[in-house]
Parts: sequence; structure tokens; C-alpha cells
Amino acid sequence: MNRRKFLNLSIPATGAIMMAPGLLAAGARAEINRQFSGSPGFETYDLLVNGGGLAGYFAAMDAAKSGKRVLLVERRSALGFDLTAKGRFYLGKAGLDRFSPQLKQLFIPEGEKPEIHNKNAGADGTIGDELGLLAGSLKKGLLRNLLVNRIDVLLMTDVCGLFSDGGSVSGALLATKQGTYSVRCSSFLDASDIRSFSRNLAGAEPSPVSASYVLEIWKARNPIKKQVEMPEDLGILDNKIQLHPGKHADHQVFLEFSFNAEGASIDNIEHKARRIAEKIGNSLRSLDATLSKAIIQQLSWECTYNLADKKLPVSKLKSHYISEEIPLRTCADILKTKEAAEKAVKSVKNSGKNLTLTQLHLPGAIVTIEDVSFGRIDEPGLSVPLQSCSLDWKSLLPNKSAHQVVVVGGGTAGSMATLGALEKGARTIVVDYFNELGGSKTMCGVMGYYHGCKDQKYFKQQDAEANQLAIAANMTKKIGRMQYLRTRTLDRNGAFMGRAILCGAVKEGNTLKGALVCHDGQLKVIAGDVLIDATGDGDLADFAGAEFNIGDSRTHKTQNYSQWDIRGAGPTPSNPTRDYDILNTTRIGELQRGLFLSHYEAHFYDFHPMLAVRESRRIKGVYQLDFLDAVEGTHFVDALIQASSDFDPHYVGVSEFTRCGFLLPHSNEVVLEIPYRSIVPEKIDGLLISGRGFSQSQNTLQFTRMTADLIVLGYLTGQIAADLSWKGTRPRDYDVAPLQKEWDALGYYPEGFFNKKKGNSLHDKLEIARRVEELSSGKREYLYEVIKLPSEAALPVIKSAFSSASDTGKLLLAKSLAWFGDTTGNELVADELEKLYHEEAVKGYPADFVDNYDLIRGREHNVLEGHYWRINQNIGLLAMSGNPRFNELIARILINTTSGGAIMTRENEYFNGRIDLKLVPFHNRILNLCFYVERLPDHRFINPFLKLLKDEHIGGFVTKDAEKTRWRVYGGDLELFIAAALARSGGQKGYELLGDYLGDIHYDFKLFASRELSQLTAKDLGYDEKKWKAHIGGLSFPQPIVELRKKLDV
Amino acid sequence: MLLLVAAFLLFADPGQVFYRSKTAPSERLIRHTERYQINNDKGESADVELLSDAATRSIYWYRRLFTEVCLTGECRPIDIGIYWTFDGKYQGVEVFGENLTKTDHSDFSDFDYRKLESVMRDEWSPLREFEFDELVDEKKEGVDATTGATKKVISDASVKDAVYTTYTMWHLTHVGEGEQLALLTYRYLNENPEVLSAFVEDDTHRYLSFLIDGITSGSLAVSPGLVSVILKGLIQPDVSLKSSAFKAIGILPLESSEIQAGLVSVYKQWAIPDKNRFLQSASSLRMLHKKLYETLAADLEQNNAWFLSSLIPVLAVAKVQAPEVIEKIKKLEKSGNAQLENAARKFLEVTRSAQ
Repeated sequence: MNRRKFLNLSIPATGAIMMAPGLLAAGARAEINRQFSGSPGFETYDLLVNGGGLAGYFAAMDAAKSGKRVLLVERRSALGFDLTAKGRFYLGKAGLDRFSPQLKQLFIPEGEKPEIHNKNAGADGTIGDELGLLAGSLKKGLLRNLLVNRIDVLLMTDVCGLFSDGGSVSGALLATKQGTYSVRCSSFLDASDIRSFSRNLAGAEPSPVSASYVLEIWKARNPIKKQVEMPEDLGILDNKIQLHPGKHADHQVFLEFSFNAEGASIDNIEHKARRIAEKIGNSLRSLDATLSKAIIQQLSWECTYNLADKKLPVSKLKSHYISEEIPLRTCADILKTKEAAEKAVKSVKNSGKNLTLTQLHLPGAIVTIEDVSFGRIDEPGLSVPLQSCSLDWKSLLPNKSAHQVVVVGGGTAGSMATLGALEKGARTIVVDYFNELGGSKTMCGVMGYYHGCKDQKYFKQQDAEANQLAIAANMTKKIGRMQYLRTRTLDRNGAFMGRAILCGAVKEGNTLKGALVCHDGQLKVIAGDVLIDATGDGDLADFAGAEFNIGDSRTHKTQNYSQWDIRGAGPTPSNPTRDYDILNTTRIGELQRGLFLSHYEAHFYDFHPMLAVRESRRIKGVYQLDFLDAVEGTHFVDALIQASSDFDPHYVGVSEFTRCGFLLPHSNEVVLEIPYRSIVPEKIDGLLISGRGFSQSQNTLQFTRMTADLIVLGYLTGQIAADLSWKGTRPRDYDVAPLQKEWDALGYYPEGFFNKKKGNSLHDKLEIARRVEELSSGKREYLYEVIKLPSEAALPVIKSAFSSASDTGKLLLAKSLAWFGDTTGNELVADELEKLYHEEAVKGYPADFVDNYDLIRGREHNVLEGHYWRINQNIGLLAMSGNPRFNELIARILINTTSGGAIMTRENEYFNGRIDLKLVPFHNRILNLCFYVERLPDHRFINPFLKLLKDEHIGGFVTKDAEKTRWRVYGGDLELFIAAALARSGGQKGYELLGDYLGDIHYDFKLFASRELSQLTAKDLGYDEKKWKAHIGGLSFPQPIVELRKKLDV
Repeated sequence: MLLLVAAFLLFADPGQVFYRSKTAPSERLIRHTERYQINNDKGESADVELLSDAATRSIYWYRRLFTEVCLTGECRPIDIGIYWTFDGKYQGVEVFGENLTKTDHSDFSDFDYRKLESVMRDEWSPLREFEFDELVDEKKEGVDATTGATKKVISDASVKDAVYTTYTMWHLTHVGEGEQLALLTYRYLNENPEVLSAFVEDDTHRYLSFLIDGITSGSLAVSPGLVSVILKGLIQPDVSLKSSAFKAIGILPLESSEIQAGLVSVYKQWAIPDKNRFLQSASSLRMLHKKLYETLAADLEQNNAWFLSSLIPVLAVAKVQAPEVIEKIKKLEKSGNAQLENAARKFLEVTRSAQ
């Protein structure tokens, strides 16, 4: 997949009944939004259903219809695991005639019809003697039906313990990537896969005797055969595989095989299934004429397990119910499951008493409530009543394992870190939420490489090896990569624990000792000499108490996220790749909102299980890599890798460099170095950071997040972790030089890399003088070169040059002085601003008045052309000067500034489809005026801003509906900046607007509004919109001005 | 149809060569008659030829193809032959029939061919990230042009005014071809042990590395000759080769007494992490050669709990235990390290039950 495809999006016309944006009725929007509309207003659920398979779904639906308040919790990122995760997209037809219209709509929705490309499929969804299913249809329909029936749903959440009161269930302990939480419920129904939670709680660990696994095959010829004989050496039971035709395409067939699983753990069963799948792939085309051109298109995410002891365990707790297990082979089994679930719900008895949490029951341990700590959560939008909940995991949990290196997160960097550590002989385990390795590349489907140092030897080697495996095993590249990462890990004696939710950390003092994970419903401590946080979100480091930054320094918003469809066999009604919204995945509510939204918008064939979230925490390290390191090519003695990209922030950046026109999107293509010290957390020992979460500024992240580079960074991080363990050294005391020598000998660095001069030339006196002299001579490209210099060293030189310079050189020097906060020559900048502004006003908008990415990308020497950005730059520079002398000029520009019209239609489908380009024409101009006003607020700016807010394209972007966010979020961002600038100028409307944004659906916007109001009023009323509004109502306006004082974002 | 043409061309007089890469093989090559195929970008089969020198020391893959580069309704034929090395790297190209031409119908100049060569040598050209239909936007730019953000990237990576030709030739060479051809070479080596022996004897880094990678990926069947390659690789001063050889340890038939004996001298040269890596691979052994046992037992003196807890289970495999080994491990049972104590305990249990 290439970059442009990745970014390209359009409004899907899929799911006409329930999903198409813009067509949604208000009621349908409310379905998603209800769970994120603020304080829940209750404490206890009547029923908590654990597991969103068919049994859990039917039970939750039935309970809700009978008036119960229900929470359904599902470990996976989508529902219907017994079909969707197990890859069982075929059911025997028997019983289909007894399906109710609602069931038919769930299993065979109208909306999927444009994606049925198999002419042999009947109108009733049948193909031959089976009902064909689509994964997307099921996942979308199950979620939507639950939400419509007002059932609260938490995806990517697992139950790992039960609270009791007097022998009855009174609540549950939940594990999410955000931590561990308690939720109160008066009854609990376990419908988890093989009811593993209840079995483990009862001390009867589930032990499968056999398992089955499903491969989705494409390019099969006339796939009507039911069975194919297999060679004996594959280890398949009965030496036969079953074939089931798919209704999505006429060459699609599902291949199911069973194998012996006696004595193996669930993880080892999953490994064994993939080993057999690879073997099948290797001989796929010779197995049968049907498969002579076939390719393995998808692997199912999980095996279906066949237990030795099918008897359900008996719980010691009252109101702990366990749903009957019925293998789903035919439509009649669906009906049986429904009946059994409804029967289970009927047996649920609520005591009616007010229950408290007195004991916590975990598999293998009972903890008294005195040993449990509870706390409030920072989830202003979430309507699910959760409390944070923790205990002394290390001493109270029975399940612990120890390793030399623990890699948490098996994604782009983590999977490679695992291989790196194993190749250094360390006992290594990789723990991941998914059952497959590869993260963004495999679980999100982002298989292409954009920027990055793709000439790096190790990068090329691993890519070729993975591709070779894919070719040999007749797999797609993506499936081949998943398989490559798994087999290489296991072949090198590594361990891979899949299906594990990281939910905490175990520390001793400031040293991280282990990761707490919830694995198939059991909390486990995975201890290590060295742990690697390769979550990409800095989750482990955060649990360990490391400091971090997230998003931009003003609003903390991160880049927009995506969730891609899995590309189907035929054309889809709209583009299968979409960007959605901004999302802060450190919050439960935000993650759930993201998952819900993408379920609603996905196509029906299938969609990837993982959200592609481009940005999250950046952990503070011993060294923070900054923008100047990136663009000045700082050489580090402890350099690990080179990274390469242009500046790619996915929206219009807000840092000083961007606002002053020095760092615009897709500018500054550079190769930079990442030093060892930036992967070492500043205050936590026992931990390294790999992947994008290492210590760097947000500006720098936009250059370093390319997957080609993170693959290599991960691999080398793993080797360092192993070496740390062998040497017994703390990361902060480690000398990486011996490993660097080894890597250099392996050809991992360019020729002469370690002979480069340390650092960069920014502090070199001769270089400073040279740059200033060039600027003084009128070379515009040197403005960018001079503003990067250190202020204290550069200012005297610039000032001296200014006194003798003339014409263009003098103006350019004045601009650089303004950048450094000096008022000398400001009038020259203001004069040019006035002149340019006048010309713009007379001649109309010049061609570059929109943010044409190509003009920016193609700029020679980072020089701004055209009036639009030159005016913006001068406004920005005057703001940086801190000189209020030109407030009148700015007020004049502001009063005459408008939106420029509606959100721009771009010149082609590609640009037009990008969410971060959904901007009004003067978006950047207005942002720069806000940038000025925040730094130099003045009552004079109140009226111009009030006028601007009356512009029909500027105001009204507060978003309360989840569905609406997609095209509005950058409008909202602009409005929020106007609110802040106006409020800092003392304007009442600014305060009120900030108050309004407390009710916005985005956590980051709420947080920004709350913090701004606190700073303006010296009060802390949290996110409470009512209280803030009451407080604002009691203030007299105009309020005193409040300047923004902040450090430069480097 | 194209296949037929290609097949015809393969056996016909190649015709006048208008351009030939300087890097294309210059020696006289033999054309092998076996049929080999790879899949092209569209998943369709395409024939490739195996070429070699008389001694089968140098192996190349070759694809002759005649195709058309079409845009805006106008098609330009290209008749080319592409050479790859045995490991699937681009080696050179030949142009037949007529010179490659540009959008203005002018022939490629020497400068253009030099640019083409530099593009073709870059296996990670930016052209990899673009699809054919992204190269043109006729409404905006006319023929053979690119638009927007892609324009600069693509034009920088192409021969000027010949984006389509460059793109087509690069994609015919680099998108999966290299990996498939390397697999074909492995297949050929598996089927021709004498050629494999020649590879083994060649002893150059590139050949050894290729062979070891083939063993690691399971593409080459392990043979005594290849075992010697791995053993040789494990003590190479060349870290790259050593690194590759280590990845193949797990695939060696370690139960073999000869291999274990061969590993003794190799093992002694390793540092602790490398030894540990071997021990983990050896954890499922059922027998231990006496010399290897003695070598391993000497390492009980090491003071690293992780290492010892890998070493002890391997020592436990030996049918006969030396008394001093038992004594040392008894002490380790009280080391205070849970992992190590556990390994020692299991060792002593096994030893006791064997006695």
C-alpha cells in the first residue's frame, strides 16, 4: 500500500441502513454517543456479561430488553469472536428458515450486498448447503444492535477478577490498556471463550485435546469440493482438510483443519496452528487442482478449541453465572445459543441489596478489600461508572514468570526488538495484545513504506526474508510477515504471549521489575532484567511512573487516526482506507469512541483489528531529541540509527517554528540520528523505550515515525537490552560503543558514520558569523538558517550586522531579531507586513492563499513564496518579538480577516479526502493571528474576534456527536484557539466558548478548555461545564489580559 | 499472447542490441532448458531462464520480455532482457528492437541510460510506493506526467520524460522478483548437489551467506556440506557471516554425534551470550557427546544465573554424570536465584531417578 492510498479517504457509502455518515439520523448518532455523554448517573450494573461472542451478545440483548442495565465486556477489538475471530464464515443451512427477521438482518444485512461478488451466492446469503458470512457484517451488526439497545460496551477490555459481598458477586475487576478498574454489578455472566475466566477461577485450567483452525484462501478454482486429502506429515487430524466456499468472491474458500492439542498451552496451540498453516501454504498449490493457483489471503485470529472436560465449572460465588457452550456449526446452533443465553438470563436473580466490594477473587488468590486501592478516573466523557483499582501485584499474584528481556508490544519495533534480544542469546518473551506480531504493519495493514532509511542493510534483509517466506508459503505479504515474525521468534527460542492486555507495572523503587498483563482473564506478572516498552503509546513507561509528553504543547492533540478495511476481492462502494478523528488513546472513552466510529464506517467484508494511531506518549528520556538535531544533522557519539522523513505532522502544526513559516508540512526532508540516550527513560531504571514513544519533541516525532526506521531501532534496542541483562548494567550506565562497532562491522551504518564530528555547528562562532553574514547580504534562505542558532550567541552578532546592513539584508536581520524576542527593527517587519497585506487586499487572494502542499513540499531552501505565508510569517515574528507596538496593525488585519469561505474543495480527490486539510481558506492566517494575540493580548482584539466569530464558517464547531467529528475536528481546533486568544484578551465570548468546549466530545479539547480557564481565572473547576459557566457568569468583562508564556517548542 | 511472444523471443535470434548494461554478464553463458517461472506484479506466471557459465560457478537469471508501455491511448513497445544474480539482485539490462524512447519520441541518450541504470540499481526506489495509475493526471499535466506531491518524487526517481518506461522496467525487476529468484536458486541447488558443492567450495562471503540464509529459512535441505558451512560460519571473523550462521543453529541436526563433536572447538570460542544461544537450541537434545559434555561442564564455573540455568538442563541430558558436576550443581540448588535453583533441582531429580 502506498502513502497516497493510505491517506486517501472518502465518505463511504457503505452500510446504507446504519452506517453511512451524513445519512445518519439523530437517533443513530446517539447510539454511539450515549456512552460518551458524561457522568453515568448510576453506580451498579444489573448484569455484567464477560465475552462478546454470540452467547454473550444474545444474553446481553435479552437482559437489556427485560429492563436490566447491562455492561458487555469483550477482550478483542470486535464482537462475535466465536465466528469472527475463529474465521468461521460458514454455517450449515439447517435452521436458517427459523431465523427471525432480526437475526437475518444481523447475519445477512442488506448493506453487504454490494460486496458479494460470488455469483453462486443466493439472495438469502447461502452458498451451496451453507450460509456464507462476512466478518465486517457481523462485527458491525453486533455492536450496533448492542448500542441501539442501550447496552454499554467496552471493547479491548477483559474481566480478570470478581468482587464479592457476602458470597455474592458485587463487581468485577477489568483490565484495559489504560489500567485496571473496578466496576460494580449485581450479577455476572461468563460467556468468555471456553469460559476460561470461570474455569481458571475455579482452579480448573481449560485443557484442549484438539483444536481447529481456518485459512481464507483466494484464487481457488471452482471451489466446490468439500474435502481434500492431506499428506500425513502435516500433523492434521484424519489427514483431511474441509473446504467451505465463501460468498464474497467466487474464488474464495475457507480451509479448515484440526490437529492434536493435548498438553499444550493455548499459546502453543496457536503457534502450532500457524506452523501447520505455513506447511500447508508451502505445498498449497500441489494439494489439489482446486488450489493450483491459490494463495492464503487471511489467517483466522484464533483457533477453535475442543476441551477434554466440557463440563462447566461451578462457582463458589452466588450470582456468578456461566453460559452454556454450544459449538457453532449450523444456523440451528445459533438458535440454540440464543435460547441457552436467554435461559441463562432468566435464571439471573438480582438480590436488590446494596452490595459493597469486600473481597477480590482472582484465579489462585483471594484478596481482602483492605489490600485493594481505589481511585477516581480522569474520563470526563465516559458514561461507564469505573474506578481505578490496584493492589500490590507482585506479592498478591500467584502467577509470575521471569525472563532476561521482556518486550511489551510486538508491533513494528517490538517484534524486531524480540529478534534482536534473541540473537544476543537472552531469554526473551514478547507480549502482545493481538495473537499475531507486526502491529501497525500487519494488524493495521499499513504494509507500505513511505519515508525512512530504506537502504539500511538490516531493514532490507528482514524485508527480503519476510517476503521470501510469503512467496514460499503462498501467502500475501502481510500474512507472510506475521508468520515470519512468529516463526523467527520461536525458532530462536523466544516466547510469544498473545492475547495479553498490558494493564500495569511492578516496580521496586525507581526500577521497573515487571509488566502486569491480563492473559485470557488471568493477571500475570512478567518479570524481566530489562523491559522494553514497545507499545508505541508509552503505556508500560507510564504505568512505571515515567514522565511523558503527548501531542502538541498547547492542546495536546495528536494526529488523526485510521482504521483500514481489509481489502476485499472486488470493488468497494468507497475507498477502503479512511482517516477519522483525533484520539487520545490514553483515555478509555476515547479509545472506545474510536473503535465504535470505525465499526460504523467500515465496509462489510472485513476490517483490520487495530486502530492506526499515529501519535501518543513520548517518554522523557536522558536525552530529548529535538527539531534542531533533526534539521541540523546532529551527530551523536551514541547514535543508534539514522531516520529519514520530511516534516509530516498530518495537520497544521502549532509550534513557533510552524507558525513563523519555518516548519510547514512536508518541508525539511532530512536524515537524522537517534541516540541511545533518547531510548533511556530519565527517571525509571530497568526500562528501554522502543518504537515511536522514545524521548523526542513533537516536532521531531514527525521525522522519526517511519516504519522502516522503527524496525531497525527496535532490532538494535533488543540487542542492547540483552547486553544489559548479560552485563547486569543499568541502562543509564551503559556504554553502547562495543555494540556500535559490531553493527558497523555488519554494515548497518553508512561509510565513515562514526568519523563524523560530534554535535552540530550551531554553536560554532564562525558558522554563526557566516550565517548572519549571508543573511545580511540579503539571501532569504538564510533566515531559516539564522533562526536555528542559539539566541544568546546569535543575538549580538545579528544586532551588530543590523546596524550596518541595508535594504533586504536589514529587513531579514530584523526578522531574525524579532524571532529571538528582540524589538530592534520590528518596524521594518511591520512595514513589510502592512505592504504585503495591502497588496493582498488590493489584488485579491494570490494563488497560494490555500495551503497547497505541493508548493510547500517543493520549496527550495525553505524560502516562503507568495503573499499568504509571508504575511503569516510576519505576524508570527512580531508575536515572537513580544513588542505590543503593532497591536493596532494586527487589530486592523484581524478586523478585516474572514474565513475566506467554506471549507475548501481541494484540487484533486486525494487532497480533497484528507481530514487534516478540511480547512477554511484563511485557517492558517487566523491561527497566526491567535498566535499573536495569545502572546500580546489586548482589549482591542475583542471586537475583531467577535466579528470573526460571526463568520458562518468559523463558529459552531463544538462537537457533541461522535459521528460528526470527522470533518469538524480541525474547525473545532481553530475555534478553540480563537476562544483562547479572545479570552486572554479579556473577552467574555472567549470564556464562554472555552466553557462550551468542556462539553466537546474530544478529551483533549475538554482538557485544553479546562486548563485555559484555570489559568485565566486561577480556579480549578475541572471539566464541570455548569460550574464553569456559573463562575464565568459571575465575572465582569472585559477581564484583565493574560499573556501566554511558554517555552519554545523545539 | 505475450507469453507466446516471449517464448518465441527466447529461442529466436535476440536481434540487435541497442543498449546493454556494463554490469550485464560478459562471459559466455549456457542457457538451461528447465522451465522456471515467477509471478509478476499481477500474480501471473512469467518464464525466466537460468543461465550459467560452463562450470556452473556463476549463475544468473534472465527474463526476456516484450511489452508495451501505454499511456493516453498511445503505446510504445519495449523489448528488453533483464539479468539477475543467483541471489535475485539486479545485474543488468539489454534493450532490443529499438532504442528506448521518451514522450517526445526521441531516443534515450547516454545520459538517460546512465540515469536508468542508477534507478535500476536502487532496489528501494521511491517508485516502489506508487501504482501505475498514479503516474498520470491527463487533465492537469498531459502525457507522461505526474501531479501534485508525487511529481517531484517520481520525476527524481525516473529518466526525464520517460516516467512510464522507467517505472515499468523498475517494477519488472524489483517487486518480488528478487525474492522469487532466490527461491528458484535454492530449488536448483537442492536438485543439483554438485552445483551446491561448487557453491560451498567457493567460500566467498556472498555465497556462504546465501547458503546459510537458505538453511535458516528452510529453503535449502540440510546436507553434510551445508553443516560444514554453518560450522565454518560460526567461527568466522566476519561478524555478518557469524550472525547469519547463528540463526541456523536451531536447524542443525544437533543430535548428530559428529556435529556435537564439531561444535566443541566452536563453542569454546564463544562469549556467554552466544553460548547461551546455543544452549537454548540444545535444550531438547536426547544425547550429549562426551567431549561436548566435558566442555559444557567446565562452564559450571561461570557466574551468571541465566547462563547456568540454560546450561544445567543440557548437562542433564548426559546418561552418565561426573561426580564433580553433581557436586557443583548441588551447590547451585542453594544459590538464592529461583530460576537457577529450579534448574538445579530438576537436574538432581533426573540424576537421582537415573541412578
